Amino acid sequence: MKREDHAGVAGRALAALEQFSLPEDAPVLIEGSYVVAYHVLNGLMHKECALPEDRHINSPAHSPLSLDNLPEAVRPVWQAFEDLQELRIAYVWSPGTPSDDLQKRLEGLWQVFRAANQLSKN
Amino acid sequence: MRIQDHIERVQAFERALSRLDPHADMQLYIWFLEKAGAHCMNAALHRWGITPEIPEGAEAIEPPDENAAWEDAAFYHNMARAGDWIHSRYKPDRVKITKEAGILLEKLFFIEEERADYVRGVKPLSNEMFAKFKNAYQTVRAFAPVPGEPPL
Repeated sequence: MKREDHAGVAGRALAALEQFSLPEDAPVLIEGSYVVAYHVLNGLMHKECALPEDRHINSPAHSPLSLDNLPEAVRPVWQAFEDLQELRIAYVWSPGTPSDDLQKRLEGLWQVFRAANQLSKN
Repeated sequence: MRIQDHIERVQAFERALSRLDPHADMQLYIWFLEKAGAHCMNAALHRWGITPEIPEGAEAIEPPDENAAWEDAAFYHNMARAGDWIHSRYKPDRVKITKEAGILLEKLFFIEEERADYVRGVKPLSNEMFAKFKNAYQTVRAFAPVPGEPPL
C-alpha cells in the first residue's frame, strides 16, 4: 500500500471517529485509533524510506524494530502506538471503566497522528 | 472478563457499526466487526464453560509475535490460564471444543483471515464479500448472549 493511500485512510478514519464520545464509546475510540495508528505509522515509514511499500508493520508489539533504530520523524508515532496498546489492554480487554484522563490521553495521541499524517502527505 | 463486560463491548462496537458506512468507512467497519465478534466469542465460551470468566484485574494476553504464538511455551501457558482469547486462532490446543464452539471459531476465523485486505489495504469491499462478512458475524453473534438484533 502506498504512503498516499495510508494517509487517505488515516485521515478519513480520524474524521469518522469524531462522531463518537467517551465514556460510552471508549472501546470504539481506542480500537478505531488502532486503525489510524497502523496507517499513519506505515505511511510515514514508507515516506522515510524505512520500509518498502510492499512491507508493513502491524503494530510495535509485533515488530522486531525498536524506537532506537527508527528515523527521528517516526519515533513520536511509534511511542503513541505503544501508548495505544496499553489503552487497549486497559479498556478493551479489561473490565475497568474509563478513567478521567482517557480523553486527554486519546487527544494527545490523535494530535501526534494528525501531525505525522500531514508530514507523510508532503 | 465477565460475560456482561464482553456484551457491553459488543454493544459499543455494534452502535458504532450502525453509524458507519461499510464502504466509505470500510477499514473501521471491518475492524469493529471483528472486534465485536471477538467479544461475542469470549462471551459464548464463558457461557459454555469452555473458558472461565475472569474477575476484575485479569487481562487477556497477546503473543509478542503472532507467528510464534504456538511455539512459545511461556505464551502457551499464560494463554491457558487467561480467560479471554483476543483471536480465535489463539486457542490453546488442549482446550476441548464442542461442535457449536467449533462453528463459532470457524466463522470468526473467516473474519480474522479476510479482514487484512480491507482494514490494512484499499481493496474495494464488494457486496458479495460484505454479505459473507455479515453472515459470518451473525453466526458468531447467535451463540453469544447478546440481546437484540445485530444492526447490520
